[in-house]
Amino acid sequence: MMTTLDLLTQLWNWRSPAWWIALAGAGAYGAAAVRNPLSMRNMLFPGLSLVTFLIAMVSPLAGLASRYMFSAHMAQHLLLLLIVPLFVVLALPKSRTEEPLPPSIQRVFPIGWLAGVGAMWFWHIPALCTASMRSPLIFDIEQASLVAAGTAFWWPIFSPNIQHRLQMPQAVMYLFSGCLGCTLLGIYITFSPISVCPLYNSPTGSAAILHLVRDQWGITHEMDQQLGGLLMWVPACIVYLCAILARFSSWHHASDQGHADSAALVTE
Amino acid sequence: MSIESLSGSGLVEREDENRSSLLEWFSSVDHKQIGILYICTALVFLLIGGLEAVVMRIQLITPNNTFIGPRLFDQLFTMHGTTMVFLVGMPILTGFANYLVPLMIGASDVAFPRLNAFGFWLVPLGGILLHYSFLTGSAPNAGWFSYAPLSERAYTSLQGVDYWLIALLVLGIGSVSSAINLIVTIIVCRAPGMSIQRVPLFVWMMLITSVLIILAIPALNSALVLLLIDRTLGAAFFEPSRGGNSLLWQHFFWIFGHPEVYILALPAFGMISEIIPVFSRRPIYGYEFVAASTLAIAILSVGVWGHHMFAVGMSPVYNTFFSIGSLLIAIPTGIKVLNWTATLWRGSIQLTTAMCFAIAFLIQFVIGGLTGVMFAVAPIDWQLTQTYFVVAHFHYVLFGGTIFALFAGGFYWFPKMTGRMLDERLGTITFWLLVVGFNLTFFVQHFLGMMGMPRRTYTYGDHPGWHALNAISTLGAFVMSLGVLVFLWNVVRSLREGAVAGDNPWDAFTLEWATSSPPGKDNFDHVPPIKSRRPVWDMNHPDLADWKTSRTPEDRRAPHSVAKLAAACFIVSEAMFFLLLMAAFITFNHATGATSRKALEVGRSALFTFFLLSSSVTLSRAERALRHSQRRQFLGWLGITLVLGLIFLLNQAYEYSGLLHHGITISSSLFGSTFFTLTGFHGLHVLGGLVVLTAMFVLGKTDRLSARQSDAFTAVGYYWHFVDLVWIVVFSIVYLGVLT
Repeated sequence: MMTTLDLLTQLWNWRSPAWWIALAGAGAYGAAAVRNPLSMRNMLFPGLSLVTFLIAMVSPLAGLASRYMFSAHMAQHLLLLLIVPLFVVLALPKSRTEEPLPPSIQRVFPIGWLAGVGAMWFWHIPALCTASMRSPLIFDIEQASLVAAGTAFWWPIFSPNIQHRLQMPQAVMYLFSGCLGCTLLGIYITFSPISVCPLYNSPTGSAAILHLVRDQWGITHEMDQQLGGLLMWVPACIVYLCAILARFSSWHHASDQGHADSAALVTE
Repeated sequence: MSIESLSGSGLVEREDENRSSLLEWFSSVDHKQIGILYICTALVFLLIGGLEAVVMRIQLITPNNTFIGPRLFDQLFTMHGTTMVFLVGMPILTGFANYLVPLMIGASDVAFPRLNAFGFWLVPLGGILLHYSFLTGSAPNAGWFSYAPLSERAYTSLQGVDYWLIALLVLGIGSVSSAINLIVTIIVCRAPGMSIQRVPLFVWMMLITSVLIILAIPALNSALVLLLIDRTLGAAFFEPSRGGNSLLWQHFFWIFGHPEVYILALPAFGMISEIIPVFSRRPIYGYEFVAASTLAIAILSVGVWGHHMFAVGMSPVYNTFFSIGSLLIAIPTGIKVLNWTATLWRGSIQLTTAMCFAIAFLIQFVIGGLTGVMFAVAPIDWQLTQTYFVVAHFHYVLFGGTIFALFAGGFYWFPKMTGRMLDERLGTITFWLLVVGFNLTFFVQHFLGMMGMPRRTYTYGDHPGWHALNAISTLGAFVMSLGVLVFLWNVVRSLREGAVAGDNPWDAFTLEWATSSPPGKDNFDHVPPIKSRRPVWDMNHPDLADWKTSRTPEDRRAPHSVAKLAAACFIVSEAMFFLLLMAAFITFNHATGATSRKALEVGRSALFTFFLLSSSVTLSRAERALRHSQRRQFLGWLGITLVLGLIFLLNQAYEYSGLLHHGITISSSLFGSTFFTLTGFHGLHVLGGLVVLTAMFVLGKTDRLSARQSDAFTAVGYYWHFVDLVWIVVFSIVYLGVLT
């Protein structure tokens, strides 16, 4: 019989190409660091982005997400859409230009919002959710698009060029409406009697893992979907809330000369 | 300038006001007069609601009492709750905000003075409607949250609940209008130098409260209209026996109800954040933290309504998440308490009556907050819900918290509003009567609750200890009533013979103290320079000025159009309203979506959807023509917009008549109820848009609309585009079956 400990130790995917991607990312950052020596503090966000990326892609979480648990699948999506891109964007070296962003580019910001919120809605249309579980190609496209959409979403909020970030009241609205978008989808998934990803209803795969999830953890199919919806809703909104507070505090500390400098404090 | 000469000029103005007719108050659009009208109206209802509470406490003084019967008792607790929340709490806070916000930001009035008056006059209208129900044979008696199905026609057949519904709709519209007004005022009307990071915390908290109001009240409004449709048109949204869902009412009500707690608490926090620093002679400790924690509370509060519903038997997964969300609110609230306490720490504290009330607020609010944390844990909630422990908890928050803060604010700002000080000796008596009375009344209710005494029950058996504790509670209610009477006597006496206040009797920090008491018609002769969060302190103590030691962000606001901003706020509140109507549609057509769509002609509706969407394009053309002063093109495009909108409405009328012909009505099935409600409200909004656009057309035709007013026209345009956007969603859900 499988225990939770067995699951946590055995369900790692050692043959995933994600390892190579992580290695390439670490290498690229290391090469950049050789040219501009970095302090330990500057290693925080690159490190976090690697760790969260690997958790999402190769850890037991990814194993559970692949066919056993809808909620794990949702946690994986949240990591790829909200957490990994956030750390990647924060990891980029800060740059400063004096000119604010031209209005023509500011008008593109809503696209970031649409990408971030839309990706979540799009990939949870039941047909697409099923397709991504059946076809490895669509699965890869899905994961890549989540990271890309997440990066587009976070860019206006934490762009490495501080002058180019979305201005303050707008930034709060951008994030708060993003939270609302997640909340609506979360509520829908939580309370819907319809199965969002029907394949999790009748999972195939290791009977031992299924036994662990259904009988030992006691997570029924309904609870699984509710858990997924609530993950989408509450933790996701807390991420947005933290981002709001981060921007808010830099806004309050921004004094005349030190506008850009103090704004950077929060994110360095 | 000496204090005497300043207060002298204040007195002259006061006498002018005395001479002014009563009619001036009725027709006033001055924010100060409207603020005072709000406060006085709320005080009248406070007496009514308080009297209701005293009658209930008399009934409960002994076991098996027959002073009043169960029917009247039900009506009294319903009316007490409704009155205190909607006719006392909200109006009195709005009143203070109305009076103080423009003064604190150095403005001469609110952004929309006439809208302000409109918002106020809805309060007496709603109050009268609510109390008129007594004349119909039964006041509302289903509790202040009117849980379905008890509030349905089948179980409450008298008209009390109908009056309750309509009164709350009226009051809700007033609250939303005043909230929009405050948001626009705070964003647009600040004096030069007053950056939003420098506004007094009361202003900041009113801004957040107003945002909460425009998000939360529409949720209540949609619940109210659905219940009203159930009761008057025979639908069954909340009636399980006919397929409806009574839990949906609870969800909708608490989506409003939980933010409502913060709508009542945040302004009180704001008052405390003004009063504690002044009487500690220090700036507030951690301004940014108090401001940011307010934002966090507001955002969290919209997502945790489920903790009011632990007892209905939701899945343990929901309970866990709602618990976690609710517990999280303790963090920002704790930050606030820490900051207030840290402000007191090493301050030179002046124990004025206002300060005493503020300190009592701190202690009592913490007790209410702690029992609140207990209720966030589902198993404790299961044990204690529906007992007097709940009653004790929310009275510690709303009375021990909000009302005490209001008394603090009353003593603090009375000199500014009237030019005279309240008597401190009588104030001290009021304070002790209220503190002792309040804690006697409600502290023992914690024990009664844990012993299992159910709330909302007109009497109780003679169980050990119950009689004594209830008698103590009733005694406390009398002590509190005495305190309120002493306060009223203090007000009446001080208005006539109180000490003359002068501009700034407390040596306070914020802008309202930089003008005469009471302020003149335009508030300020000149606004002092604003370089920090305490401009009046800087003015009076130039050597110790804040801006010399700590910098705050300069004022670099972008210019805003009041019309567009107000339209945007209005659209947010409308969006919430439609969101909940859509949620109701999805809930009831989830399983049967495909079969119910058979009744609709999707192709034809798609065609008319195209007409409606084209009207957005033509309207944009009209906007552009107006900006470029091309009058003929403007009228042409606007005319086409009107025709397109009208065609859409005609099709809707045709569609309705077809459905009615086939026996599909609002009461025939849940599909009918949800379909007619959702599309009907959308149609009404199209009609409203058409009326406004027609008015614009007439103005344009008679040459009274020029490029200078193009902002106002664009604001109307926002609304029209929003209505079209709503239709796209409605069309997808109702006709195309997305999400169902």
